Amino acid sequence: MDGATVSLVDVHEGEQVCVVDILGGCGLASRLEALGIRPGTNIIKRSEMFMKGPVTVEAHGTQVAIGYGMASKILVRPVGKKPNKPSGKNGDIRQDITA
Amino acid sequence: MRILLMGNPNVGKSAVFSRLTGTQVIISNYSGTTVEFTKGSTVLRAGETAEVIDVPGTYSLEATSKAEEVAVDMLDGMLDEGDIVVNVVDATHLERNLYLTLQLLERNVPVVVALNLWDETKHKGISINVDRLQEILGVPVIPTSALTGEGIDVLVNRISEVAKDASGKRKLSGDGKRPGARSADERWAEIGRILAEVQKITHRHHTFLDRLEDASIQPVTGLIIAILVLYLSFKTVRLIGEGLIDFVFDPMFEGLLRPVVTRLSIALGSEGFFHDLLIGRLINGEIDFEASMGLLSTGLYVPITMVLPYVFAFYVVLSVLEDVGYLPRLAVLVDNIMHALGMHGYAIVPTILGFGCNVPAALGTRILESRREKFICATMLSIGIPCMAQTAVVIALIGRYGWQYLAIIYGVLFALWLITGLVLNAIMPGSSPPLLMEIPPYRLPHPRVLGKKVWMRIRVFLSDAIPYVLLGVLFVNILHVSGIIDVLGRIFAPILGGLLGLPSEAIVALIMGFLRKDVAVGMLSPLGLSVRQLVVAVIVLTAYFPCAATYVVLLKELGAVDMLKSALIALIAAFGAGALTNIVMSRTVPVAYIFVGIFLLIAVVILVTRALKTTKLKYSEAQSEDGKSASAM
Repeated sequence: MDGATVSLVDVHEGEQVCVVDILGGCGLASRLEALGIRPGTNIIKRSEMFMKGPVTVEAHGTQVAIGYGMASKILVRPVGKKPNKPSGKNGDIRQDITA
Repeated sequence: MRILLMGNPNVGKSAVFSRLTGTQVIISNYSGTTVEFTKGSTVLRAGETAEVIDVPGTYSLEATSKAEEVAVDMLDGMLDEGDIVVNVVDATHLERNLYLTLQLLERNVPVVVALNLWDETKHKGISINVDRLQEILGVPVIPTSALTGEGIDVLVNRISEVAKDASGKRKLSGDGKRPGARSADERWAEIGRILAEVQKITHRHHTFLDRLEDASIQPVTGLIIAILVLYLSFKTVRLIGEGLIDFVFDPMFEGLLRPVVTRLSIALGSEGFFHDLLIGRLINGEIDFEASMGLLSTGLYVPITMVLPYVFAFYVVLSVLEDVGYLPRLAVLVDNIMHALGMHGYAIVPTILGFGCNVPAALGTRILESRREKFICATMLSIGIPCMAQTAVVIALIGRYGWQYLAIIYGVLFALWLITGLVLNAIMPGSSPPLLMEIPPYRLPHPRVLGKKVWMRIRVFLSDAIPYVLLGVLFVNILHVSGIIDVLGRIFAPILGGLLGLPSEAIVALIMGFLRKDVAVGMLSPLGLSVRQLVVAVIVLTAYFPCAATYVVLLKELGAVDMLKSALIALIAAFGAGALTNIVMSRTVPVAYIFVGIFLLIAVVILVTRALKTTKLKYSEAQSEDGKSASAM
């Protein structure tokens, strides 16, 4: 289950990943956070538009489109390719994140 | 007392508002439909009236756009005793929605939670223990389905109850029953705990809509779907619009109005001031509804027969696209292109609204985050996007010469729109903010809700357009009679004749264009212009200035200085494009070459702006070594 930390843009479509860190200013982090995307959140990458277009992810059952530049600043870690489980898993996953 | 409806975008606050107040407001299936707060009133259980305020959606109480700012300001301003926040929550996305709920509870304002979209939870395999949720949150939680009205009466009852003891409780507050401000981490941890207790999700199979959702944001299938959707939309608008004109409105006018106005015309003696004002000038001894320019002829014919069918058709199609939830997906698809124009993909939403009417489109630019983005979007909108009212008259007037002339007009306008964006993006400091938006699930439109929305938009059109059209016709008649038009014609003859190849009488259309574009285009009809002159005049008319109603909104949204800049850009663009089209078309160039020319022009502009951008970037990098982190944003 362990994998290296990569940028969200390098993840394959359909893969479930866990957000490790959000680089960039706190403005970016707080906007993502308001949508429920924050370190410790499990998300599924749904699609990526051609020519560095927006990345669409599913977080908490909602689809969110994220501009490419923004997506490249989201660091994630693969957690396996299972479809998303019911939520309520935030707490335990965050334990094993090391910066 | 006041009731504030607050919640995340696209959870149905406006639908709840409609239910509570009976006031109709536009509701759609995407974030940011409501950009301004709307007020209405409702009667509570005790017979007391309360003011209900529909607040724009916000994910948190830290605002990131103008629309969200409005929401937070509303809450800050509302600290009167007895006021209540109804937190509308999307039951199918409880986890994300609860963040705002917790923030609201921390503020110590009386809150009632409406668990909206309740009917959808069943299809989605979500079960929520409402009683437990109510217990944990410590405030009333009421499941509702605003579209069908389910649960609204219970909501009203609970609001009445809370309102009754809220005024008493408020004075006691401060004893710290509820937790004070917490950190985001604490809030999310709390949400995790709450959900573990109250929510169960059972796995369900993917439906056809789910698959369509995925397909429309994939590069290849997404593009195919977009082309298909736009093509079908266009076809449907033409089909409905033309059908209504040919089989309903035109026969109705010919059968009902013509006999009446003909008799009136004879009674008035076929000429004279009153005849011209009411019936207009006779053309070949007959009343020409398009060109006579009388209040009862053209004044009624243009808005009702020529324009209304197309406006209706457009809004039917637009409303379906809105309610299905397609527009945000289009935004994902065009995000790249829009970035080259200085905006992110979501700017496509107000742009598409603009094809109906520029007024709601100008208001819609509020969903864009930065001032720069708003300015670019609004300027491009007022230059390159003709509203449906104008389009309808253009189709009637120029369509008869062949589709290629319509293609030239819309090709040139599209090029203008594109070039305006490219140039503004290159010369204005700053860059476009990144796209970040929620994509709503596809939903099947609710026929009753859809019908209401179309009717509302039609009503706005009728009540706004017809008075303006009549006023315009009256105004032009006065200009004619007083001779002012001849004076103005002589003054502007060099520009009109020399630059655009138009007769000096065309000034009347340009003056009318300040007021209404549809009548302005209609006024070209009695001038006996060649098709080249018509094409040039329509291009200039579209681009040179927004209509009065749009102007007022833009002035408010952009401020006087920016509006002046925007208007100047529009003037230059309009007359430049008009002159160029005139030159090219007077050489009888085939349509194909014109399009090659447009493409070349766009390519040149892209290359030049690219070069400009890179030199500017290098310059700014050299300027500040340590400013790296700031510019990296």
